Amino acid sequence: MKKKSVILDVEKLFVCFHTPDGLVRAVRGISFRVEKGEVFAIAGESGAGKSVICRSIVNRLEASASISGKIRFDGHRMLELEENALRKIYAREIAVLPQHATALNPLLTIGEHLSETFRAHFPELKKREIRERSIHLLDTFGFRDPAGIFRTHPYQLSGGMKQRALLSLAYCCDPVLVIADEPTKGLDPVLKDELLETLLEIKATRDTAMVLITHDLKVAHRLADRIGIIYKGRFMEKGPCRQVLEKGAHPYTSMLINAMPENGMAADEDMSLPATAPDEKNGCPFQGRCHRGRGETPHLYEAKNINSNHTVWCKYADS
Amino acid sequence: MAGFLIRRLLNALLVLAGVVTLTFCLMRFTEGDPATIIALDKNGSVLISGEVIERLAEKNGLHDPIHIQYLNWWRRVLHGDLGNSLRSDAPVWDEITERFPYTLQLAVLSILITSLIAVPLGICAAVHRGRLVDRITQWIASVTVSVPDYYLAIVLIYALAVKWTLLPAYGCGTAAHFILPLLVLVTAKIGYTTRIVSATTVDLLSSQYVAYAELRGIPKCRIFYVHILKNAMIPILTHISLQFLMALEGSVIVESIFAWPGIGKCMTDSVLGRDFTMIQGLVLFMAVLIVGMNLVVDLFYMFINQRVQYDGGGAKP
Amino acid sequence: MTLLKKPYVLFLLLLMVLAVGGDSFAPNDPFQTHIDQRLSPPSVDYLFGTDELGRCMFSRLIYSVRISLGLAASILVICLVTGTCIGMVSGYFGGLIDEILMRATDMIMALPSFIVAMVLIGALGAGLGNMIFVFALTGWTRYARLTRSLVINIRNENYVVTARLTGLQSFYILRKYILPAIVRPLIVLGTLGMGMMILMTSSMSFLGLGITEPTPDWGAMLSNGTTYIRTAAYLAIFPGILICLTVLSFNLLGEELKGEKK
Repeated sequence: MKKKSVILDVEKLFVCFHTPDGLVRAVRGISFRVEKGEVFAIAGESGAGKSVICRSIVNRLEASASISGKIRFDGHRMLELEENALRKIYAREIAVLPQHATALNPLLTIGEHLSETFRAHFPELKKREIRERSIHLLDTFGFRDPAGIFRTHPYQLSGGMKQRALLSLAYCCDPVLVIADEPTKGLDPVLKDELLETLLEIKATRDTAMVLITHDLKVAHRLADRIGIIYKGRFMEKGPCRQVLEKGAHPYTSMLINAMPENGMAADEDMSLPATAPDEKNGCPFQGRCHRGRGETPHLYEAKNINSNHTVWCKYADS
Repeated sequence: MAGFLIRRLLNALLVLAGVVTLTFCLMRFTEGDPATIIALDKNGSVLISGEVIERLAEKNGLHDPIHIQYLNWWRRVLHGDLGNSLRSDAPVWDEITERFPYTLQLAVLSILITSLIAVPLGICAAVHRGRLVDRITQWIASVTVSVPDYYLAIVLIYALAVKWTLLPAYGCGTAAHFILPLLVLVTAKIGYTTRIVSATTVDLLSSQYVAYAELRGIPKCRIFYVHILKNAMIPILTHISLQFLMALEGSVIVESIFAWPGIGKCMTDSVLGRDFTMIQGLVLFMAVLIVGMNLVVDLFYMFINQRVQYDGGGAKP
Repeated sequence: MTLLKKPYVLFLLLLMVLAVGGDSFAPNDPFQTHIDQRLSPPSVDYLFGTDELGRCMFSRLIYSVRISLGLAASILVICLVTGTCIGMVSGYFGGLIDEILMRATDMIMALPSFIVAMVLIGALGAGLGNMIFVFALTGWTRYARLTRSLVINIRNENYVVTARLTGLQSFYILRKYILPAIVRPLIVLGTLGMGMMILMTSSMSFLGLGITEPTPDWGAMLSNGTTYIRTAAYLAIFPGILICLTVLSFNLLGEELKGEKK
């Protein structure tokens, strides 16, 4: 692999929420890097803290959250930026691909959505230029009648078209990094395949990096270059996507793979078990559900390097 | 869409037909026979001979079979002839058209003022949710909803007209006469309206598309004016147009207290004076207004908010 | 039990005691006239003063709690029972019955209920019985609407479906399975409706179309007081405050119950 420049560097990210039920530690020391043009997937079950990582990167966490760690994007320290500076980065440098079409204002046309984004970031553009750019963009995203789509309201589009409209909105200012928070969640299989194809095409034609949040390992497998498996706010395994998913070294990874529909959803009984082990500060969070570690005395959460870019946080993995 | 329109129109016509029938029945179901009531009202409590009653019954076609009377009622309604008032003998239609502008003035002005205060206040409360503005607004809403408008009117008359004699308490004519009735009408509605505006805005503020607009780096003021205000206007305008109907109801009490010569006062006087032809006319008139208003609101809602499902009936929020 | 600490709940309890015990708490006979003491301002003997016939206002106010609250409560109970029955039938059976009942409900809801009540009172004449009839005629619709939507949600719950499949009778299912599940939201709406009902009935009496002299009623007393507003304003002030506090208490209680549900 050629050495490329790192554009996103997340270092020891901790996020806690102060809720009426006490302190919730959502993310506990996550570090990763994303290189230019690379797709990095974060996978894990719901509630593992995936979305929180996402919102931390764009500095959009609610006020009740306390964050520590560093997030560096292209020379900006994201967590320290003010509202105005952030607004300049959004869409232009970091774009978010929303999960659902409810992110589109039902009263505005697709064209108005695109134009307002262009106008916010390129105030020097003329109305006609914005229109031309938007229509060209819609054309590249596979709309057959881009000028017509420009004038339509979201409710007039089919599910698949809405997805593509969202995609064109995310890529409209040619960002350096796109954050996709579960883009395939809730889509039917046909739409999911269609979206996946489009995303692969984008990856092939554009030099845009992506942080892909998903619980669908199949999507990650096809799209991602590298993957991090997280559980309870901590990485369990991190490395090149194929290596992790095909030769997974962590028991949690194999559990997730076994639970996929293609593998008969063989959620072995461990999956349904609650975590029984005392969830100590530096203890392995997975031990209570681990088929090897369960019942033993609590052990530490420690990293083991399998090779230079594949790391496993498991006591039992062979290094 | 065309189907929805036709169904909605048919529905409205059906309701109107029902009201015409009901107003016919109203006269028949009252205690005492209509001729005696008419005679009593014409001549006061003076002893009335059977002959007079007989003549009146003849004149008003009360001896015809009931279905002929019913058909006659329909014919008269369709010709816009609502009969003459039992009290003043003036044509009911003329009376209503003369008085309605007064009611309309109060209704339009009160709704205008209410909206001008409640919309910014509600939005402000929503933006500063849980803060002082919000809590004060909530409290004002709770209190104003609980105060009967007639009591408010009396307190205001006592304070501003009797104690300090700043304003005229009764009647109409000058601009000063508007202040007290408007004050009552606006206070009665403002809390409720503010609450609705604020609830609508809170919903919008937490909506996905406002969050996504922020994530696209759209300037704050554009988010506010385009994404929040424009979307909030649909439910708010619907609510405000529905308030015209409530204003009609509210006019009864307020106009009676302030001796405002609108149709609300006319209604109270007619009911108290057992002026049944007048009541019939007023009920019909209000029914047409209400049905027409509901139709307009529905069409407006359908036109501006294309997400509404055209399943007929209540396309209200 | 935290509800008992709220001032408005205590106030409502006090009103209930007054409504039941009415006359025994009144210091004077509410109907006894004292011509020599007409329109006397509040004093030790007559706490809230006397009216134009020299009757003790304080006693009349206490006595009127039973009339005014009783009237509103009886209308409300009739509306709740009718509305719940109609809503349950409509929501549970669906189909043509539902269509007919809901069309009727829509139609009544589109009418301004206060004006309808006024016109009917005009035709039928004033009086307690007519008041109850006239307000109940239009008041049941909101409860029918709520009940219907609640029942439709519950109808397809597993436990109801199971009950149906085991061949239990519809009436039994409605009574034992569905009614208990929808009681709470109905109580909330009923509490909020109580305030509205008091406002409507007292407005009617205020216009002289509801309860009339000599029976003391909040609206009628207030209306009566308006005549003497230049000389004896207290006649209108006290009944008004009582109405405001009562309606406010019911509304606050309703809001509290509504919030608790969530």
